[in-house]
Amino acid sequence: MSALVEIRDLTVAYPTSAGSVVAVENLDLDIGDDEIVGLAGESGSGKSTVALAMMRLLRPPGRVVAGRILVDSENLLDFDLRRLAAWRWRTVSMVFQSAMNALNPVATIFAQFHDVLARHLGLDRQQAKDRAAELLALVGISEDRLDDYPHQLSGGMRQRVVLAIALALEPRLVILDEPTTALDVVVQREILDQILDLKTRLGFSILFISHDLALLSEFADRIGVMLDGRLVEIAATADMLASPRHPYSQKLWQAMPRLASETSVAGR
Amino acid sequence: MSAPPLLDVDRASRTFRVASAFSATRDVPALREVSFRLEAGKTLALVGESGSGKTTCGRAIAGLVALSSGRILLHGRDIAESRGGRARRRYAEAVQMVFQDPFSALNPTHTVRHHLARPLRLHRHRTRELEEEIRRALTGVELDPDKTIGKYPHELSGGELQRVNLARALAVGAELVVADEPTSMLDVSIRRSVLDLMRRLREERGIAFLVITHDIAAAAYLADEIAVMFAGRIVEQGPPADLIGEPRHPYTRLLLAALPKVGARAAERAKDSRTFAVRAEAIRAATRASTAALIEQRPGHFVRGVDSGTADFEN
Repeated sequence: MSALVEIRDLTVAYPTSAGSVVAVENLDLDIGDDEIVGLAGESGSGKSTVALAMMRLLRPPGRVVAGRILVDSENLLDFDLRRLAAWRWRTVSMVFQSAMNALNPVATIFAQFHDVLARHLGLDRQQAKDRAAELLALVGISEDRLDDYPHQLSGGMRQRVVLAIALALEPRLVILDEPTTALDVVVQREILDQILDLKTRLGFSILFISHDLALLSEFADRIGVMLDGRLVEIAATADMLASPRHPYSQKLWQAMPRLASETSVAGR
Repeated sequence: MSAPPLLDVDRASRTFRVASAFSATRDVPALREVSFRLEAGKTLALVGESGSGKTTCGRAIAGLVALSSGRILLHGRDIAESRGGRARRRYAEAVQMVFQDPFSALNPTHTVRHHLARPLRLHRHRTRELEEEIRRALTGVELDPDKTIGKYPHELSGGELQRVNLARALAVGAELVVADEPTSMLDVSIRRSVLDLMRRLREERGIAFLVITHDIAAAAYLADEIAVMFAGRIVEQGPPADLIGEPRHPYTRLLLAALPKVGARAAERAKDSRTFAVRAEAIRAATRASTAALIEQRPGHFVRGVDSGTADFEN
């Protein structure tokens, strides 16, 4: 059986007047059913570009110049726009970096659910309302918030709403790009535990992009490390913890100060 | 009597009046009777979640926000009285701020030279040795003057920009630097080096730092003392070893319990995700409601009381 996602030899480039800038180079990556794959690296390493390529959301002039992205054995780079519109969000959805600002500030929470539910499932207003209430309950928000505007919710609640919208069509894969970077640790923990809880109940795979290796080590089954557009190392989380091979992986581990009780792990 | 401390914050309070076109005007207390002292060459970290009041506290000390009540004393002088003229300028030299976003803190149309020359010209009146002083300031923050002095902000990395911001603060002779989340927007691999630079500046030049952060691990790495803030109050304060080794306040324990732990498997605790959120909210509610005083439970380790029976975490 093949993996849910198979990325082969993916190269993404941004042509500029000074020549082509390669953002992702010859990347191979598999994501299995029900698997959580973590992707670490710093800004500019290409990890968000991988996510955008997987959603076919690269901004021109950026484009995939080589490789394949197979999801369920279909190369999504071959999809025409109509096919893509039906496929996107239903098979793969994404929670963007600083997702709390991803909501439309002048539309109610319900209007944002309605957008997705009407377009993809053709639900009428009442059906959409019921489904939106159900989805909000899933992330622990009361349905009387449906008529609120984004600014009436806290950052953590907005993040949960975005997550609920990402789960609206029960996708096979959810891409989380730095989903909690703008939140404090307590809210981060609450939301991530909730994502894990939902994953157990609904069953989906996760590509989790973060610069925080400690966080990834709690959630991911495997962790990949990106540097300058290349995946320099990928290993099961336990192996990545015990013996990171690539010098850059080791450097990333040392970069974050940790509490004294943890220095035995981090102080390599 | 011994000399007054560099910084003495004495029951500082600040209430913001929030006016809305749609609802009644409300008073939001952002800072409630916060007191602490900071000596030259020491670092105090204010740790807490968004809305805890830590940033308001930092901005009040930098003179950007006026207090509703209480006092902030620098070398024993109330900063509210150093308005206008020389007193104001002396204060602005002594207390400098470094902001979270290094990319927007500098003017994109000017070079590093301009960013350092301007404060030097404003605060020092000699311009003859200006170029030399700029180069010295850059060297002091581990930047190569030949490579950086003529560059524009977009040509530098976040870490380099934050060093320029530190250089700018120190060039005018800052004794106290208020740093609001100085590393949270930097790439992980360079955060440590910026923290290390701050440690070195403290040791070699006796600069005092007030660091505002939500990252308790960074606070422990950098600070001599940590004050945990919640709902405008300090709930626990002490040296990192005590505060993290033996946290006494439930809110401090909540913060520590929420930190990602290397290799701890989240899947094994997901079953009780609701429990974590419920306990977290119970602790927040109890902490918000408590008006108990801050009590020195051990030398240098202060803890505010909470009602017994409050939800709690083991550490």
